Amino acid sequence: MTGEIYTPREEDRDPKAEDVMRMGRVDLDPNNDLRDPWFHTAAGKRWLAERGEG
Amino acid sequence: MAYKSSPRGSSPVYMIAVHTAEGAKTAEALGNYFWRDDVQASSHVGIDDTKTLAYVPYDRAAWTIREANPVTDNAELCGFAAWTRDEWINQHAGVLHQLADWIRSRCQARGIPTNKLVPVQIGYQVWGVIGHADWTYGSSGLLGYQDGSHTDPGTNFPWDYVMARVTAQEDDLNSHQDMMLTKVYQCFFESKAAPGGLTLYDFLTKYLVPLYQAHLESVNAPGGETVHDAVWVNRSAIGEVDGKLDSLLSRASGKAAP
Repeated sequence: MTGEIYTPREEDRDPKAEDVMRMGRVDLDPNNDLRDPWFHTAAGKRWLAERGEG
Repeated sequence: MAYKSSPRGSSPVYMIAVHTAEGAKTAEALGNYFWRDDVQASSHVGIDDTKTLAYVPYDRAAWTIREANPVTDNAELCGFAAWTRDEWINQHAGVLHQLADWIRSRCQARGIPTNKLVPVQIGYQVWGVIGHADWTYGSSGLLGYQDGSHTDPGTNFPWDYVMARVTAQEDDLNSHQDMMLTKVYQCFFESKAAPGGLTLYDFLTKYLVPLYQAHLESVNAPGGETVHDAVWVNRSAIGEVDGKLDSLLSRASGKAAP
């Protein structure tokens, strides 16, 4: 039903939808960060930095 | 760039969570949004009117529901919490039907009951199916504070319609599996009794091993498939086996007759 991981393609983008999508937009609403709050702790930030993520 | 995710941790996944994306109209557009470096969100799958796409593998936690990320499998629907019940059922039934398939599949894979939970049950760590809003309003019972502010998939979301479909399909699948198993046993015992009849080994090598291999390949595929996924993907092959079992059964019965 949901096998292969979808790889994004430029032609599938919908910039208009991206502009209004609240989900995950911490710049619009700090409470809208969907990561585990652990990522905001010192340990979490260090963990992300070690992996070049964040 | 990549879809954002983190390790699952030691707690089992015990909730299946449903969200609305509030913008993207296709699962491809949603995937492209999650792929952006500046977006701190992701999901295991996205569902639109015609398709379900996988983003984050099930052995990783998607960034979808904050503190509950490690213990949930998550689906983002290409829809809006503001839609009416009529809009959901009469204009976006495709989303609901695929969601029902996905919920059943993940509940089977995780051993989670197909029960829709209410917020108060969150505090008791009951296993089941939730909307993001259930976690928002129920998390204080578990964590001592309200975790986030999301209210999706909205008060008009037709949970009764979706969960009825999950349960109905579950019953159909189980009765079909029971029927097939009964046929296998009947064929085996009757043909074994017949002179020169088929053996269990014949059944295994001819019909069941290929299906089992297909299942194993699905399990090892990216995204971690389930038995149900394998049954669904291989439904035409299973139908063929079902037909062969029917003819073998009638042949075996004929042979066994004096």
